[in-house]
Amino acid sequence: MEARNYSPKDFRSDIKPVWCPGCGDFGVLNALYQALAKLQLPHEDVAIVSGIGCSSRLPGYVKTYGFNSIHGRALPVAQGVKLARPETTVIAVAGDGDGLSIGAGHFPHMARRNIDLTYIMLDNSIYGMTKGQMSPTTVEEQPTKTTPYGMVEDPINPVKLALAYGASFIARSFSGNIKHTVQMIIQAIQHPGFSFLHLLSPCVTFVGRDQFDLIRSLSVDLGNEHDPTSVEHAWRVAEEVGRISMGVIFEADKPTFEQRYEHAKQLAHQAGDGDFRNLLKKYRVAA
Amino acid sequence: MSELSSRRVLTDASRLIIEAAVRAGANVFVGYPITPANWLYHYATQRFPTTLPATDEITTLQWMAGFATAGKFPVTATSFPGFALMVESVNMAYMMELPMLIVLVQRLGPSTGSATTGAQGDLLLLRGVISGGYPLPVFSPSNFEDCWELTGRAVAASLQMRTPVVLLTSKEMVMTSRSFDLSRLPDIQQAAWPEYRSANGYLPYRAKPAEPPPFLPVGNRQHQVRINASTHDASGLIRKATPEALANTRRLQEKIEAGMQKHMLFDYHAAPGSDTLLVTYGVTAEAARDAIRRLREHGRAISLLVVKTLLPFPPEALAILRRYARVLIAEENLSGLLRELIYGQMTPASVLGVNKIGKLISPEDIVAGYEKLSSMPSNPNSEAQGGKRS
Repeated sequence: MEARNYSPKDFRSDIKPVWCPGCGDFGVLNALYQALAKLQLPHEDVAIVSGIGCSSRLPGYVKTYGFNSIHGRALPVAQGVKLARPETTVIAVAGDGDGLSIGAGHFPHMARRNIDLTYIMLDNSIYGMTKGQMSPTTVEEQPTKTTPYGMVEDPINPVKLALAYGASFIARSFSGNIKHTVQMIIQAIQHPGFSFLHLLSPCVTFVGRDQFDLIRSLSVDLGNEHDPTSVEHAWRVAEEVGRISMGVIFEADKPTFEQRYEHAKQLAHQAGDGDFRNLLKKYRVAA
Repeated sequence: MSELSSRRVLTDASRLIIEAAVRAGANVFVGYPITPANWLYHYATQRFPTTLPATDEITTLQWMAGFATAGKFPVTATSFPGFALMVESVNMAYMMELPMLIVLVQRLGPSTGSATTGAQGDLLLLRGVISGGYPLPVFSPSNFEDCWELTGRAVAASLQMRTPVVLLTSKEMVMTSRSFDLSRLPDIQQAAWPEYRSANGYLPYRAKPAEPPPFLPVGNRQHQVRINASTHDASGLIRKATPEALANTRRLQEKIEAGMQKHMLFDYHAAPGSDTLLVTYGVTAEAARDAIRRLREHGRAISLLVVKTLLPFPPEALAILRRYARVLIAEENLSGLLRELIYGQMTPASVLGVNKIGKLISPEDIVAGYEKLSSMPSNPNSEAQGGKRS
């Protein structure tokens, strides 16, 4: 196949996004185009898988293989694709409602399996597509359609979850900072194993324009003193209050599910499993 | 609704369903966001004594079951994708004999389909949703007044039979606002559980034949209550297929068949001299009424049957169907779910479906269906043709 030189716009599909003007997800989409171009990934080597929600519209806007699956199920569909086509770069995209509420059950298992795929969570702390209900990351002061008198639950901290579940790569970025988001997407894709990118992406319609300003005012770059290979350092970042650290929070070198599964397959083969007569040997009835 | 006499307001039916449910005695709403059921959820936060945001539809039904065991009446509103997740839990509530109302707002499928496009695609799902084919009561409002009355009726029936009940509606019915006179709405009586009142020992599933067991809530402080989703005996303990446990399971079917006899609802307008019957339900009923008016203006008489209790299907409605030589069934789906519910795989040649997806069935669609049906052979066995009643 001839070598191609991809530019960000080569990844743009012909579909115009349905997102509201000013939606944070535009920043994520632009960053993704740039990241894919920087990595020079051929269209046919990438699959983007989503569930349902505003953020889950993203695959339609990228010129790669794309899936709109059902609400909350981006991760398991992505797993099936990755295991069947290990050479494909698989990116799962979910929102905070999609990924931390209805689909939350898939998160720990993907993290502990360490399948080599990238999970980008676009967190706006609200259900936007269904017109503004509280989500698992809605904070106490934020009124929503279904919590008109305020939140009475603590929000989920997705980075803490990823760390506790054993994700081998955890990073955070903000869609208002496209340059940084490009860097984080690239590193997440390049990491061998399950990589989780917590991407703050404001909803100007149901949370408000303030969400951009608030995140920007709390954002802090993880400096050189942060060691992403240290679990202790990572927990310190995950637990921080009053600021939001951006960058690679944690990175570990672990064998992937694919590698371990391949090894188990070899053992099964050596044991003679998969042969019909072999399998029935111990059930033989004396004539 | 005397306190609101002569009050004309701009409202949607979501508002009416929520108000009617509360007046009938519902006191807990559990929601998870899904279009086109969101308005019900939003209004519930303003009206229900307790409204809780669940994290998915499985959780929704499980919370509702917990509330019901403690004597509350829970309501939720969802659409097919959410209802699909509820299926195991609906079976659980059915087996446990817990009352609750599920407002199922139909939208275009399959799967996620189109969230903001209406449909009538879930009738046969509801017919088969309880494993074993046990009947799950389903009411279907055909206009705003029905949204009010049938909601009250559904809550009462649910409590009376101790069973989950579905109010089957669709997107345009609950999301479209119209000018509506609230004084047209009748009062709704508050419904109650069939309560256990004896001083004797209590067995949570001891019931008279074809009746639900009298209820005592968990936490009643007098008698032990065991609630069970597995095959169980009168004490609520897990049993394999023992005669007593099987009799208890059989009673689930019998109590619905007996209990629903007083809830067999339909509107029937017989046009004198007509040999043709238009049958419909839900949102399509509005188009059907309009089509009937237009046909009448052109001197063509056609009778109308709007079915409001869809499951179990009213035997009297079947008797009406048999009287007609030609039957037209209008519903917003491709394959004709009501038609299949009535005729199975043996739809007679004298029965025609008016079917459509992606858009409301219009009065014109129905008139066109009528013209087509009129040119088709009629049923020689119908009572209109002097045939025998089968």
